[in-house]
Amino acid sequence: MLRILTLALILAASTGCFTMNAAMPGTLRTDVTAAQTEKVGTLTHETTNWFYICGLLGSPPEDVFAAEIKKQCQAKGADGVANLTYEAQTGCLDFAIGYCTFNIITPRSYKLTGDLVRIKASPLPGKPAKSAAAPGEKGAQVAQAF
Amino acid sequence: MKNLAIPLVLALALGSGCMHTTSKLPGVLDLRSDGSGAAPANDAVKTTPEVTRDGIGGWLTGEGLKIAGDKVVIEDRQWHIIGLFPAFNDMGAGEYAALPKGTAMRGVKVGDGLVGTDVILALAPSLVSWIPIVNFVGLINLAPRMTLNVSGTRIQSGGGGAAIEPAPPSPDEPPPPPTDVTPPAGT
Repeated sequence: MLRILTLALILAASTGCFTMNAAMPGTLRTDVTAAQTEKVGTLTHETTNWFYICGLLGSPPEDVFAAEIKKQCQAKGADGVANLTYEAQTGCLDFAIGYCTFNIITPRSYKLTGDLVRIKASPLPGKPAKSAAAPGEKGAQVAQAF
Repeated sequence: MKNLAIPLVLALALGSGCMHTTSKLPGVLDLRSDGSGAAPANDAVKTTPEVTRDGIGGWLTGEGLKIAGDKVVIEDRQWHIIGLFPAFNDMGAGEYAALPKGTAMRGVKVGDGLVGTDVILALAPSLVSWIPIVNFVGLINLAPRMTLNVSGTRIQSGGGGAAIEPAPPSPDEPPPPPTDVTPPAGT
């Protein structure tokens, strides 16, 4: 038992638990002021990720939020997202599932919110982030639909 | 009173969730460009010890904002009292405010998790729980902390924010399409 605990601790210390590392599409710009944006909608996206063995396994892919951000931007004709807020929590149901399964299955909930905006400032040089996904990828399918 | 305490804590847990972390990213996420054509920004940036923390401070509240060349890394550690109430530290707000004015970043990644330091910090008091004060600290320590991680590559925004002058729309004209949804040539 002690060996298993030690192994779990070493794993936790080296890889981390409940690791979320989500890549954001496009560029994050603080040079764009609020006056240079026009709100056209609201971004809301909630998802639950299923981790396993006290969160040691089951980290989500990096593009876990990217496709949804692109999709909602395109649906509203927005250029980007302002006031983007990232939230994570082990909610009531997540906790109950973890408790009942002795933390073998340990979900964690994530939420992204923000304002979908049109941006009046000039874009930075580069490829459009909405259509940057390779053909066949989920993001590309969304982009091609428009 | 004791009978009320457990339902109260449970109600709080149901309402707010455990180890709740919130981080409001600065600026605007601009999807019109991935910034791949912009030159990296390598200018030297000075940060204060409050936002770039080393030693014990770095252990307890995360290493804060670190800028090395064009690489930006923010690590901010959130404490929770019995897993419910965030305490002692915000989630990246101070570090975001300390970013150089007009910063633009590509390849931004946002996330959180329990890193090795969190696990060690959570377990350490139990090793010295025979010290009376640690029993009190142990109340704070019942739940491990979460660490916010934000990273990206700084790029030159060229003074940024130059406004595009929109053409006056015709009254009969339908609303303009989004600026960046034109399918690539050949599709």
